[in-house]
Amino acid sequence: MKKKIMVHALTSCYGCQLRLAALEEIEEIAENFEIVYFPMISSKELEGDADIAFVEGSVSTEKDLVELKKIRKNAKILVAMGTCAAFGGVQSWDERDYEKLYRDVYGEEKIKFAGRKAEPLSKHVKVDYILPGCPPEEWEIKYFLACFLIGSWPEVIDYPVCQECRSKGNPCLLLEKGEMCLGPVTRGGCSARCPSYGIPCSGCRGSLPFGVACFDSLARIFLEKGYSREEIRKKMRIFFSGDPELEEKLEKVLSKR
Amino acid sequence: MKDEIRIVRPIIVDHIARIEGKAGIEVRMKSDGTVDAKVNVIEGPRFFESIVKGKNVNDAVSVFSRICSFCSAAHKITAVLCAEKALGIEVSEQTMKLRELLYLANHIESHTLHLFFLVFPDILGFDSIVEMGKEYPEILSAGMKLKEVSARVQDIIGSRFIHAENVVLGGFSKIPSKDKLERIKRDYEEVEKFAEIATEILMNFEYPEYLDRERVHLAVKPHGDEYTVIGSSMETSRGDEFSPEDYRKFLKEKVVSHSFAKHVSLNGSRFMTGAISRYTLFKNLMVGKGREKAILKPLMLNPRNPFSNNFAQAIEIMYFIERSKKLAEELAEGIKDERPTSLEKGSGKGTVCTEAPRGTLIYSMRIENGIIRETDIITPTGMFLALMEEDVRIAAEHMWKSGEKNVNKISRKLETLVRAYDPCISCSVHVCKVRK
Repeated sequence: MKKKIMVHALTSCYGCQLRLAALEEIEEIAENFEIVYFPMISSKELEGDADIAFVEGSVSTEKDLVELKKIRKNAKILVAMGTCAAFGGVQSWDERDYEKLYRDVYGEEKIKFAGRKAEPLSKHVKVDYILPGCPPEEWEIKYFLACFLIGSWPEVIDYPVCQECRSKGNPCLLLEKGEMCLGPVTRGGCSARCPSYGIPCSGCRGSLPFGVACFDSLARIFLEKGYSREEIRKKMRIFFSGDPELEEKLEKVLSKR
Repeated sequence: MKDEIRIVRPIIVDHIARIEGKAGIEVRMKSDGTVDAKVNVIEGPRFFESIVKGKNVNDAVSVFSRICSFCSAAHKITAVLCAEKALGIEVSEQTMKLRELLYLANHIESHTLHLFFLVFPDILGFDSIVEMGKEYPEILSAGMKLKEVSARVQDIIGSRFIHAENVVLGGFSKIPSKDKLERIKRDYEEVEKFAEIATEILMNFEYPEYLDRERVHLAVKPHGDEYTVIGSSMETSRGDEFSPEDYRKFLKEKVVSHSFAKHVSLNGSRFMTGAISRYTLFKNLMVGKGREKAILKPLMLNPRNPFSNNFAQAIEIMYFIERSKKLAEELAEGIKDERPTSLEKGSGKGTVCTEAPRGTLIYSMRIENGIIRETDIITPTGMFLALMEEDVRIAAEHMWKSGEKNVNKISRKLETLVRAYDPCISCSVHVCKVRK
């Protein structure tokens, strides 16, 4: 029997599922799996359970939370697809609470649906796998699907963007050009896409797992290169604000003693 | 009075399938035969304009592309143009041409995805493109090829299809090689024929006449003498012309309780923006095959009917491919390895407008020493939301009054109507700001 997939989006830009839907192999995917729910491209309504749920987006409304809990109940495997689902995404860049942000944008006006401060899925349910990226790389979406197809599981990428960047022979934007490149603490797998274009890594694939993201050492180098404490923290928070170790490690280096 | 507004039967679609983002329809039939209709926008807020406050302008422009994946290059390019205007950064002609080539690829990709993935299954009677592809593999493969080529152009020029990072203040971090630009031209030549399939499919579709009515259109006036998506002023079908700096005099935003996206009005009235508005206002500037096809089918491009928008998108795919070929050829001939002109810590204010796939997009910024102090963004979906909602009401009322009592049938037709507008819910929600 074919494994059943469902694709959900909480609050997001829809880029992760757009990458999935726009894969050249979408027909093959539909042949090998049963796509039971994928509202962005299908009018089919959700019925019953699924083997694998791909969930994009952060939890940003009460409705998102209800939907997420239902997905968890209905799916054997839950994949947090993309950086918003995995780590909160760019919408959690700001540190102000929900009420402050709401007032700044909507003023005193009321909207009948309840919103909340953006959070990653793992704050609320168990996440089985993280498919990182903003958006994820095509190869990795296919790798995840292939693993599930043969009954295996995807390996976690535990090496930094620098590994691929150096092997491509790119000049080092951090050491040679003094740019605020987050490659050393960011999950690899993108073939150093941005540094290969001469653009410093912004960390869009999220921080390295297993506690090996050395935010502290990197922050020290940035300080030496002349960046301010505020600049460093703001830069790292764009995509790493969901990492529980970020603040603690930064504190060691950035606190004014 | 209370009896009159007794609800007979509500139609509630929680989540309209096959659109970008989460929106629903709520229609209530009243006993007097009239109808109350709401397009509920339930997609969560992301407060983009608020979260970039106090942040570095280079980081902010990168984050803005994350507002929406379907129009990510549109947001990136418009944000960069806005920051450059605020900081007084001048860019080269080559930079502007490359940006336009990238922007057009975003249009071709977005229109292709919308028509082939979201609309055609409707017209041909399938739940999704996958089912449609089993019966009509040639349509699926035409859509896939158009998408593939336009996505590759974004990969080459922007560094990535969806969230292009190579577009930076002052130009591009890396200039594409002559070979790559020539490849872009060849790729477009190969897929040109597939663009025509889109117009053929839409020809069999009849627009409901009850939606024919006077509509105000808004679009950005092209910068040169040919139809395109970049320009420095806006025009309306009522004859107004205004510069982006004056947008607040013409466009007003308001919060409505059933939507995280604000509704925008133009001089107090509901209005349209998008492919059909561009075509209506600037069709005389369109040249080549797209134009030839369009002239043959004036009724399919009736500015009074919202369904014309899809045909206008199909025409634009043809036309934008032709224009892209020309741009790629011109660029390939004299491509120079230019470095971005940059002004690191400048200050100033700027407002710009461009045509995103779904219509006019406005960005306004105030920057102090390279840090964002204020941003205001008005997106096309926010602009046409009120008009779309009114059309939903008119359509529901018409069907109900002419004896259609099958709620499922009505809601399917209403969903099709919403899809014709090609709303981008992520865009509309994530970027609304109160004007005090």
